[in-house]
Amino acid sequence: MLSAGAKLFTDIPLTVVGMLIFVGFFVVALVWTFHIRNSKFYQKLAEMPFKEGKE
Amino acid sequence: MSEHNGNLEQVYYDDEIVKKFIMATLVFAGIAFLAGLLAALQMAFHPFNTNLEWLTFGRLRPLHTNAAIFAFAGNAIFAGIYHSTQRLLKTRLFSDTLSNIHFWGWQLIILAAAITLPLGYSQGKEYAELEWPIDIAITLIWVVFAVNFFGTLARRREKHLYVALWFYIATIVTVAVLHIVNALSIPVSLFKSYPVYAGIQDAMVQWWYGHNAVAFFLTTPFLGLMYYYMPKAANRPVYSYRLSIIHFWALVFIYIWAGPHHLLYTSLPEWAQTLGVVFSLMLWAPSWGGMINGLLTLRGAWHLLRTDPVIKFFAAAVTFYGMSTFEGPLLSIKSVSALAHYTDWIIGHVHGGALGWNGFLTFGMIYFLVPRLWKTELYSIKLATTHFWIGFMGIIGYYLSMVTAGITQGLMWRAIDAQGKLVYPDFVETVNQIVPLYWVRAFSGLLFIIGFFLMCYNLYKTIRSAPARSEPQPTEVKNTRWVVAAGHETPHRSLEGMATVFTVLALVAILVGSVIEIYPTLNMHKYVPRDAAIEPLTPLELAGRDLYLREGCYVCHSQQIRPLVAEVLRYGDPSTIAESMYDRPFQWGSKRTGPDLARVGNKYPDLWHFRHMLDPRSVVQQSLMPAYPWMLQKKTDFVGLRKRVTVLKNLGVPYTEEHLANADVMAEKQAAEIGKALVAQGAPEGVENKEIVAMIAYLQSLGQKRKANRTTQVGKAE
Repeated sequence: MLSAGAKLFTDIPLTVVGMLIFVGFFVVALVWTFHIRNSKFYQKLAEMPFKEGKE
Repeated sequence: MSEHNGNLEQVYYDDEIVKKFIMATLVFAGIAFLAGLLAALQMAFHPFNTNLEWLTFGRLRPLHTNAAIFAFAGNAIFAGIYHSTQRLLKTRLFSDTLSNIHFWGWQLIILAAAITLPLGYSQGKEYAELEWPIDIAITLIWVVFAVNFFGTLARRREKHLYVALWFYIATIVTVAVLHIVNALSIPVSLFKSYPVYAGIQDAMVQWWYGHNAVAFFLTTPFLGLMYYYMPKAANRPVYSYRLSIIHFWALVFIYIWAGPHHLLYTSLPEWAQTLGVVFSLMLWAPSWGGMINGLLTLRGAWHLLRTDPVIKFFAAAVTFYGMSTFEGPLLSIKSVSALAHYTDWIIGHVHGGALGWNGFLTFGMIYFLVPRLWKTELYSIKLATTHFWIGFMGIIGYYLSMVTAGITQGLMWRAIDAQGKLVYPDFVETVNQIVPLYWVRAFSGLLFIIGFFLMCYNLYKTIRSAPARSEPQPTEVKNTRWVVAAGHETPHRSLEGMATVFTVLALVAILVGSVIEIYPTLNMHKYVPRDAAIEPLTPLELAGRDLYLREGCYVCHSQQIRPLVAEVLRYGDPSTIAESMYDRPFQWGSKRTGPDLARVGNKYPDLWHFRHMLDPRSVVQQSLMPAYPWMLQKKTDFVGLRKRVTVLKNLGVPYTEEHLANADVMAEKQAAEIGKALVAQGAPEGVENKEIVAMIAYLQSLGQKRKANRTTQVGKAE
């Protein structure tokens, strides 16, 4: 059944499918990363180089 | 969940190792830059080749590139990584012993490269010229570096891994993979080996390596340094930490695919070329995301550009990064590549990145670090500012001259008149047109070097003014390794707390593209049948080919005719996969300061090559090529040929039992025939056992390996 299903995709260039998966993945990653709820965490992390202790 | 502050603890950072790497950076920067200047002068005026074999362009250029990449940039990376990692992880480096083994081991590798490359010990693969013992040493020292780095991660006092550390992790893991895979070779002797890959496979692996050496040795570690030192210098956090997450994952995933854009219009399969182009274009997004993130870190601190040389260098470096990463994908578009490839435009592009991005970021980092490490003030801000402007003018002059030269030559190569003939059929015409621009390049390089020496003087005075050495002072840090943040944790933050998982995921990200592109290429024999009509090189031709590698001919001559009208008119039929199927390493080249040689065989008589090698100007009046008089003095190593043929036979080259048993006898016989023909044409007697005859045999074999095309050397000479 799997191979029968796979045959349906023989006419679609692999590159296009790969591109769609790739773009989809990064759109999700973008939405997740820039979700407003996470804002204060990232702000804190960005300040790490300034919390290394006093030399 | 509650948050607590963690315990206060004292840490003694190891800054001595950072100082050592900074010093090594400065020493090797000087050597790399001066070698580059000499190479630039050789291109403008051939007598700068000096007729000394170890200083000719073909040997000097690999020395320059290796010194710039692995000695200058490498030491700078190690200095910055060791300095910032300790502070970001709030702990001393894992092992002082490993740090010192790393430092001295790396310097010994550089020394070995500096000795062997001028002597002509070269694998003939760009940016991977070093012979197998040095390759093994690089692997071992890289492992030492990795153990030291990951050991430091393991005993950190900070749970979270700051973005700079992600880039360091990707660098360490990927460079290890790239180096090991590309350097696989079978030794013939202590200083000679043949790669396990041949022809198109070698081309694919080499440019997967070559492109990603730029990506993961000259880009990701420097991005890590940017993410640490720019906020520190500007005293502002990075503009968008969230953007840095996207920047990192997109970059490490996409970059690895782009290697085939170095092989457009070659005999590399179309699908691989297309993948290379598509992923190169996609690189625009993460690269510019990173650049914008870097530049906007200066928001609210732009006034520092007027007064702070560190910020000047950083801002210019990031701008050059943006420029180079815009231009790279542009050059990957096939129609642009058709014009730009093999020309000096690529040299301009590379140096925009190397001098502007790597050079200026390193200079900014050193100006930032030296006063802090030596606990003093910078001797002269004015001198540093002067350095910036002189260096900046040098880069601009270099870049503009090379882009102009590249476009000029590219257009001349392809110019066809109304009758369908080449407007500039004589290749040397197209070279002489750009010689004035070679002078501009050399002068611009000189400006960059003057700026560098101003920095050395400034740093010398700075260090001289430092207080006497005192006992190392501890730094008080909070141990937050096991602290749980208040509220929820984002998934990515949780991931960053798991260094091993993070590293494995980064490894997977770079392996996906690598495997998809390389695996089918390695299995090409399954669907591209071996062309039985292609003969391997004769033993004498093989000896000549090894001389071709030794002299670095591939840095100026390609052996790959693209299926473009002008190229076919100039050089002959496009190159095929089969024609280089036994080439270890492949010699397709990446630059044409001289013409393509893929079909030069039988184009000229033996005597023409004889004279050309000894004095290029005697047959091509305006040639820039160095002379190779030592080839008339040195004897061909006939005896060593049996071993070389045996190794190649074991690698799959179809040599016969007779080849294995009598390689030296066969070579001597062919050499005697060529020697006799040369004498008949007017050459001196007694040259048959000299290297120049082996070189002629090889050059005359190029493009002649299809049985139908083949004519004997004797027949041709007659």
